Amino acid sequence: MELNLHLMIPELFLLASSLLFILLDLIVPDRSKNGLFSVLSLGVLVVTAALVALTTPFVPKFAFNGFVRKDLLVAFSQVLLVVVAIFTVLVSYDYLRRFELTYKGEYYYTLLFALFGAMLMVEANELSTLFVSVEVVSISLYVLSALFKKDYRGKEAALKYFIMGSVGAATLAYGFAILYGITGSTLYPEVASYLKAHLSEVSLPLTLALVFVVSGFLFKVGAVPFHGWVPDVYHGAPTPVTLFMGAAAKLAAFVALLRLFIPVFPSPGGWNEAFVFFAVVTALVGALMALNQDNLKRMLAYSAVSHTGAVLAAAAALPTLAVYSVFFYLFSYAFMTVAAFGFVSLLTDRGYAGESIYDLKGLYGRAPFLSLLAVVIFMSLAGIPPLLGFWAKFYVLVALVKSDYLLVALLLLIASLVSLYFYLRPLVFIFMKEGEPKVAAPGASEYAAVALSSLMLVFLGLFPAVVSQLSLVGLASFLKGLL
Amino acid sequence: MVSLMLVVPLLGALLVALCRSEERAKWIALFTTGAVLLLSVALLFKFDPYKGGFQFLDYGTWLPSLSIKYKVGVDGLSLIMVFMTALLTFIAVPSAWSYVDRRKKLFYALLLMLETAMLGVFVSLDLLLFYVFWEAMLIPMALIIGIWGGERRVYAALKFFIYTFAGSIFLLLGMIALVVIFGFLTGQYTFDLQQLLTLKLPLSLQKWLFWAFFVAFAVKVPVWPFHTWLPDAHVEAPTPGSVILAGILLKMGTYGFLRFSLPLFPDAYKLYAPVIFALGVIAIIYTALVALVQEDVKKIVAYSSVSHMGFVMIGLFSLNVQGIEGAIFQMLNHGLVSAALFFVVGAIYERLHTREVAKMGGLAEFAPKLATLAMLFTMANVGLPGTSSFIGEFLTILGGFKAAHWVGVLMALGVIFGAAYMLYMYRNVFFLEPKVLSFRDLNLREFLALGLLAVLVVWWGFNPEFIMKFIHTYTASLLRGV
Repeated sequence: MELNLHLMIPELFLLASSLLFILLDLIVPDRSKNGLFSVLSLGVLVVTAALVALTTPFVPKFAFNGFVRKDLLVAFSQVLLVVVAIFTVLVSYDYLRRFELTYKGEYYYTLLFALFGAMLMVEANELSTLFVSVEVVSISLYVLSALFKKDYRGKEAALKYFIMGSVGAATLAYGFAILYGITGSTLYPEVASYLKAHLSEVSLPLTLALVFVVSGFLFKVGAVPFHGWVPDVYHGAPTPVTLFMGAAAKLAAFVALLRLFIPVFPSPGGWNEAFVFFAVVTALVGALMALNQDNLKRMLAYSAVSHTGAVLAAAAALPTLAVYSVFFYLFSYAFMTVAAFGFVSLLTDRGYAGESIYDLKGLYGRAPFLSLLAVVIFMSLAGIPPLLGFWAKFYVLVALVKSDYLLVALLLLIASLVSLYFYLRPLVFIFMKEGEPKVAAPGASEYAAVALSSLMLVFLGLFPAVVSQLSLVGLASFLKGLL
Repeated sequence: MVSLMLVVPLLGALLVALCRSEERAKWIALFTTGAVLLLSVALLFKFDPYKGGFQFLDYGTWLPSLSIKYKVGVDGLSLIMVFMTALLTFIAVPSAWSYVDRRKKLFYALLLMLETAMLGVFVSLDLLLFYVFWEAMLIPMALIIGIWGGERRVYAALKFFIYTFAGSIFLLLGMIALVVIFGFLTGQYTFDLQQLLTLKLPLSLQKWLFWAFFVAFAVKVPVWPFHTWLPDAHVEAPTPGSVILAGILLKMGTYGFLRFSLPLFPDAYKLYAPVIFALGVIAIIYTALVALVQEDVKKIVAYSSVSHMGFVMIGLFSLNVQGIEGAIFQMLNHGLVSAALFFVVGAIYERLHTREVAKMGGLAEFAPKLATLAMLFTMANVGLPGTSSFIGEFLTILGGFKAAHWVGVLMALGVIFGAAYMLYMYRNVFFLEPKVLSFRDLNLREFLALGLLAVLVVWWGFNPEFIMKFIHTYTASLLRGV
């Protein structure tokens, strides 16, 4: 075991740049901040992605004396996170320009901090590292949600998110503490080997620890019964922040979940059943609650809950299938979320105009290409082939059927049938109703982000082998030396 | 060649999207669908009807991790379906010519994408590829109904989409379960239909999978009691939408039964045939009676479609040569006749802006050309000897009779009701006292489109062997496998 600091160059670079941004924020004149910081962030992000690609070893390696594990699954997740951040910055630039935010510099470096936390989260190989990184992401997101000074909805969201999130974090920490108490270590491999050695003992503390850790994670990914914060926070936060939350924070949380549960906890250990149960409930509740939403962001928030259910179910499948299908789903879901919230952000004007589904009336008449992109986005979310969302759903189903969860697969499909209705509703308003759409003139960088991510959904939907190969390689690298 | 047919409409759609003028879109669509039709005719002549198995195979890997392939090819059944699809999409363009008066570019682009998806359904030899086309088709079709449809178009479009999607979730689950079972038994995973056919499943599994596939196909056919989306979708859809719905989409369900259910689960198929007979007979008689009391011309034709698909279903499950060949022939023939009838109804609606039977009457006086052609198609729908319908209906009734006497008897009863509602409708629309002041006869475009269909209906009524020769080999090998 050694420090292996060179493996951490991307994270350190990102952290150093964000700290530099804080200093820079003090001297740059307010007027040019948005443009300058967005361009700088883009540069930093591109370099970070390149550094991840350059420094990741082909054979899994440890850094910080085993606190951090670097493998290809980590690298893919990190690059994906950076890509999501790039899209977030593209969307943010136009959004902030339209809304005239007071804290522009703060916005960009807090976003980078959140990304830093997420990148750390996916590579954590030790309980306290995981906890700290989860908190870095969460706290940055609390701040970002309340960024608009006079926006009460945002403040409400941030406060709710903060209080609920703290409880979630406390639960998680409590679970970790008990786990440490049982096993005497916080390092994943040591915890795992202790649990494996004492497999036959059914102990109350271990059950308690599992309950707390599972609850904590259900909280962080926004699964039923801890999903209450999702609609309010998604709705209240500024749209680009929601985008980042929905795509990046969820991705990081799920990858962290895989990396913790699969190697550490003995597999038929009760948590699979718990996941499956909550997954089905989550998928159905999310889909049913979304049916009645007239606000696009709220609708997408409940749809996010429903998708969480699908991923959670996949995570409970047999280990290899779980990693594979979860990564595939997260990959697709990241692009779908970017596209969907980017689309909403594109339509949002001062105030909340453009967020309601009724504002979409007759959009085809004004923006035909954007309307076609909306078809791609919503149909991909609904899982209609040949779009990427279908393949994500398909792999989850295959994983579940192979793991003998046929009924779960059927219930997930029923949830997706229910979801179809609310994914079709926006299209009804866009194409089938007449009216003057009350929407903003789209900015170029926003438009580029939405177009690029939705075209990815089409392209990768036609050639899903690209994503499936990535997932396979990531899976192989993740499993090396674990099972 | 088959792959080319799949690509050409997509290129056409791209061209439509890129062209500036809204007017030019329909010409591009006409030429593209025409080119596809020519390709399908060429396929018809190059196909060797006496050779079993699939011809013109195209092959490539798509998703290696689950060995999902891009594999397309045609046998006798696919060939006829492909030809029918190409023909009816070509007919749909003139039917939309003046009916679709806004957002023309979007319409023709969607129509062409729809054509690719429909052709894809009929030529896919990989289960998942089939499913992708099967589902992908829903988006353009639902948009066509929802944007250019009648008053309750949004309701109809959503109902259509959700109903068919509800059916196909069982299909998807069934396919995955089938492949996983196959992998469990043989050690390798594949979605390749021909490879899956090599395995004989135990009856207990066949039963479950049969019903999973059944729901998806039955919604599409539609088998009674899954038919309730159809009247809404047909009535609200624009004319070209109805032409394609009745002509092609319904056949996808029956095609699915032939291509997947029968060869994959032959024992369950045989076991449940009586259930299907009962459903088929109910469809034939019940929907014919429903059609008898409709006020809306389009609804009459729509319910008549459900009724006629009952014949096809019974033919398919009769499991004898006459029944199956008759069913395949009836699929093609119903495609032509119902498309023509929807074309006629659309032409009347464009002129009168009503579809109520009570508001029409005496149209024959104003429009002799329309009346003559409509008479021909009405008679064809009734099953008059000399039209292709007669061949199809007669063979399916014969097949049903051979399978179970009562089925044949009740089917024949359905023919009488069919004659009743069709003739009743024809009299009220074209004869009796004129209730309209003026009515324009068919123009050249409409006359040519309907004329083409009329020629085919009569030609195949007298010379069914032209089509039948393609399906003899197919049916023989199919029944050998049972």
